[in-house]
Amino acid sequence: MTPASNTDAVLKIDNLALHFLGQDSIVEALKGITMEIAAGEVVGVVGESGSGKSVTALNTLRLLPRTKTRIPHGTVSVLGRDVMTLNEAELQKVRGGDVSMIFQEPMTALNPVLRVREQMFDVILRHQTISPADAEKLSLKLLSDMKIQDAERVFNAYPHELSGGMRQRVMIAMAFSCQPKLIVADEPTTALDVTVQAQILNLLRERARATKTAVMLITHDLAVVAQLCDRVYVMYKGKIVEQGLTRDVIGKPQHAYTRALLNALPEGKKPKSRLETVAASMIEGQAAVAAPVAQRTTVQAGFKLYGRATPLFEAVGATVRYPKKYNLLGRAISYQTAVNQVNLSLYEGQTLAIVGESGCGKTSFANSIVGLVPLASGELRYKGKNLRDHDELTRREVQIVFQDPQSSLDPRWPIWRIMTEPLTVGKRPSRNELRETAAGLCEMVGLDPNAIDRLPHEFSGGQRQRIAIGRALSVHPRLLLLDEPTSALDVSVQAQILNLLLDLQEKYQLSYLFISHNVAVVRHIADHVAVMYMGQVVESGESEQVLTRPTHEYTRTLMDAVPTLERAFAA
Amino acid sequence: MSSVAENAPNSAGAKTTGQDLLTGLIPLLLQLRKLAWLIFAVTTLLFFVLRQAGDPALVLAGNDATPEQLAAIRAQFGLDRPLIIQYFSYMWNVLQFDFGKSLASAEPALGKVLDMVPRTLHLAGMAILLTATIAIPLGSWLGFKPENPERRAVSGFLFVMQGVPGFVTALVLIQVFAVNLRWLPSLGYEWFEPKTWVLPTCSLASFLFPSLTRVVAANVAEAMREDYIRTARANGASQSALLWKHAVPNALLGAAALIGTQFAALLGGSAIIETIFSWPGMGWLLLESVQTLDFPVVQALAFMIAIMVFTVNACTDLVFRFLDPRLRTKGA
Amino acid sequence: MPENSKQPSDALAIAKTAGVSLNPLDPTSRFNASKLKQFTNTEIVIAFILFVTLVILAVFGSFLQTHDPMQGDLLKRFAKVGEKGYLLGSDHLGRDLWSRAVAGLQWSMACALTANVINLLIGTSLGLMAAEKEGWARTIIRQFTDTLQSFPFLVVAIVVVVIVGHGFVPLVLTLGLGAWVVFMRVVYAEATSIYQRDYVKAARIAGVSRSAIMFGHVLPGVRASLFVIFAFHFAGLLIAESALSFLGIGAPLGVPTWGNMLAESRQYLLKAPWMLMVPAGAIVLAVITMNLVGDGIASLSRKRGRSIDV
Repeated sequence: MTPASNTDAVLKIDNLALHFLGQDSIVEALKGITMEIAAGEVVGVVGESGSGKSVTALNTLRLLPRTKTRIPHGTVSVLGRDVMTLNEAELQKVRGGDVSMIFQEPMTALNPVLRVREQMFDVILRHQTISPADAEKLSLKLLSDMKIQDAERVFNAYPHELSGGMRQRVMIAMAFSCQPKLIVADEPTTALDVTVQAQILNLLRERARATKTAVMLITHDLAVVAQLCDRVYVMYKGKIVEQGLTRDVIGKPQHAYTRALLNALPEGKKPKSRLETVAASMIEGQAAVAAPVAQRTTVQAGFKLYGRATPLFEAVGATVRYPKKYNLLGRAISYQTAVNQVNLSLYEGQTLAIVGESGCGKTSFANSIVGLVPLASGELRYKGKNLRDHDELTRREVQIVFQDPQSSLDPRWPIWRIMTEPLTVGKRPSRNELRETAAGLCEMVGLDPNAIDRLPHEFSGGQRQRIAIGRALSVHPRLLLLDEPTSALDVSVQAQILNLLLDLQEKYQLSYLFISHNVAVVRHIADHVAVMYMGQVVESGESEQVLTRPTHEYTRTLMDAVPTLERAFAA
Repeated sequence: MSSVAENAPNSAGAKTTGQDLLTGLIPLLLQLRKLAWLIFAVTTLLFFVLRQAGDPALVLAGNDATPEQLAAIRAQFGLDRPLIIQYFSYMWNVLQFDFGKSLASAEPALGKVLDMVPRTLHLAGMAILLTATIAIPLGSWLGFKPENPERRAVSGFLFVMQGVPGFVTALVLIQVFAVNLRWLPSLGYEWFEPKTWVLPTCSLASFLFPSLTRVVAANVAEAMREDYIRTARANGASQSALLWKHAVPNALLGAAALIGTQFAALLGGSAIIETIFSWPGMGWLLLESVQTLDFPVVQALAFMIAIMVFTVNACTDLVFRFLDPRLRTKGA
Repeated sequence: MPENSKQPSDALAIAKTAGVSLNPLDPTSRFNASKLKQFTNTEIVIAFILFVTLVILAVFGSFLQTHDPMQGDLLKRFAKVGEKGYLLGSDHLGRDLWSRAVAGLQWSMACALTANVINLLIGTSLGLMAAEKEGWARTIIRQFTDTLQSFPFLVVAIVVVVIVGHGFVPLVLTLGLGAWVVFMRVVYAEATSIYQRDYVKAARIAGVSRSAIMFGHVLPGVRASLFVIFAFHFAGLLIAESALSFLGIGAPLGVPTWGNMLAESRQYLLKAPWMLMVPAGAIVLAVITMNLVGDGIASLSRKRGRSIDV
């Protein structure tokens, strides 16, 4: 499909600038963007957080609070009408009628006290003059178009009775309910598991094609764009830096930022190689070429170590259960097994990754290793001995880094105190000693040692994750548990953290137990992979082997579902 | 990719076996266990505290009774037995709803209390009704949009009203409407005379409605920031639909809890207002009987208040389950 | 996902923690509602000035009284406001209402402050203990708090004060030992959520002791709310104290307290309405001041919190 011509554009944004009015500052969210979407076209808008992509989406329907925003110049027209000049009543006709939206969070985007029926009727009856009986027929048809088999049940259900994927299907059905000309989908699958994401994206594309509806897909995931979109706009800091046919933009990126973004993706790179970070290449400017990948020795070293007699860490029949139902006396009468008979081993200096979707038990397993939840049966061995039987000091050689850098640092503590907290256990080092140690740790994880007096909120997400890694390193661990350490971060920041982790591993011969849902990241960092599904390890082995030639059916499903650039272009 | 897992019926509310029915009853049984605890604790505490206060025989016989008369009364009522024995026999009677006779009027104590229940319910019900009628629309309006001069003025007024205790309002209302204007009676209660209802109801409501209004407003304001409001807006919902269909029902979930607690607290907590207006309800009776050391009545009152508070809380719970589908379908 | 499943009963408990009551001793409703309002700097200054005035009157009140609050002049009964040298008029025994109001302030402040500190200590310790660990201690504390909370506090207070007797100590002990529920509930709710944060988990994994976690992470985390509740609860205790005195069962008869003054005024509503207005105004001013302080602190800590937690 060719870029839209002026005549059949459903959305036309011309030189739009948008400022947020803060308490005492103005934030320039958009700095003059121009964009066009033709009828029936699927267009991606890619960017990292802060790029202005969601603002663009919300502003299309004027959903931003008018008192807190200002539009210095530019126009947004939908089907030839300038939405900036419409009043609230006219806008209400456009919203959900000509243009509808799909949001990211399926858990909160539907009203919890209304049935799906009421929420669908709400939209349909507002924009169409049909009888309730016809509206019901239409709703059921829309739901079954979304490949929902028991549409009747879903139609009469409350949102909390549906899974995340099902809710998102309902959202999409609602979005299609009034034959819109354009659907704006704001990260529609980011909160979902990969296998569900694949289904939802396919459905969205299928329905859009069938109804000739244009789609504006806002996402941070280049692979999703590659798979789904005809054209793509790349946004960076409130500007569109590159646009064109998806194949051209991703295959032959012109702008340095696009190139950097692609280079920061672990996908398609040599495992354990250094990933390029966006900041580095943006400083060098337009002319930057992908830097030569540093050759590493760790991979080789890892293989040499493999086969040593005792693994550093071993799980033997590890099982974790949670009480599900209680009797009258408050005793548990039935249990849900979260981790079922897991056997794993990890050798010194290597990385073992556990891959799985939400609810597969990977986090429960991590929690059981660090003693946050008890094992129902089985054993966890560290250096050949039960982890529980080790003394306090040895147990501390196992440390953890959590997913959410927001919640893992006490907001009231300066970072020197955070990073050295483990060192205060059982003894009272002087303040100066601690501060010195903290400064050292800062250097280790690539932070400014002069910043140790700052509070966590003064740091960005990636920096906070560095602080958390620094805290774990303070007690000289041998084994680091990394529980989705990069999944809350932007691609370019993720690349930085992965680089840091690989550097640290090489330097200190650390062993990692890396928990993730992201197959590309796992492929990049892990020597060995274990795939978990419903509490069990269904497949494990060397990462190359498991991820390229999976034997178990679930692993195959998972691999098929992961959107990749490679496959998108092969298609 | 299989979509089988996605389409599998949700386990919640799928089947109802005997086991499920039993586990469904557990919340109720737990509630009843709480009630038993409450009654036991209150009755026991009162028994010993009241015994410390004065000799029941002395109250029964009067201050000028001879030692012989006192001894006779003690023997007659079993007051000469050890305290712990008296306690057990007393608890045995309580189990059969027998609190003894009022020392002041020789009527059964529980009967005397039961006479008061409808009047207190009447007053508390009217006060809550008035409170909710004012607070819910006012709070919704207040929380719907960001502050402007009118909203600022109203919330300032609410803030001041929140600082005026109910009994102070009552005294001021009496001063203005009964003493100065002579429009309404300053005290008394007549079942068929709504004029006597006005001042007590308004006094109670004046203290209740500011906090309820502000909580409704805070909840509505919070609901307006939720994702589902954004979804509804993106689907073209009008301002009034946003407020009444989406924000208010969610906000009322928080307010329902407050209304229940307010009502429960009124059952004994309106003692001051009832006393000021000579409204012959449970609170009024409580002060009367405490001050005349009429122990059986005090005990019966405490028992009754415990049961009524429990009932109100259980009903609030039910209303909650009715209002919030997330609690309704999950059951236990 | 068992780790994510939330018991509905918990949801209910949380909803109830968020909602609240008419009980003057239960400031959680005000605590909740205070989220609504963002104070301007002027309002914070007003709250501060009123608060300082209150403190000065309470501390140096004895020097500011123009007459002996107990000693009346029967020749100067029912003086109107400003008459016969009485700043706020005189009562039926010719006693100076200004001096009596100041004496009442001292009594009420002393009473509410002492009871409030006792409440704070009991409620915070129980809340922290219950939040720290699952087990029998949590069960017992929560059951006990639930039981205490479900019975109207005023009823308990009336009975106990009547039986134990008039006076400062019985009054303070009744309020102090019986009205801590709100502190427990707020501390419990907030501490429980802090105990689930990753930074507490990380500290546990590193082997940091339970007390170090409690005093290093959890208590500082609930501190801001404690200040707010302390101010609101102070207002509630002022109301409760004057209510009990008004009923004639709190302060001993004859002692100049706001409650007693209100009770005395009832006989003379027609003749001397100022006898009602002076103590009523005093109570309202004091309560509003403390509510303002509470809202002000809540507003300030939110401003700070926004920059910290984002």
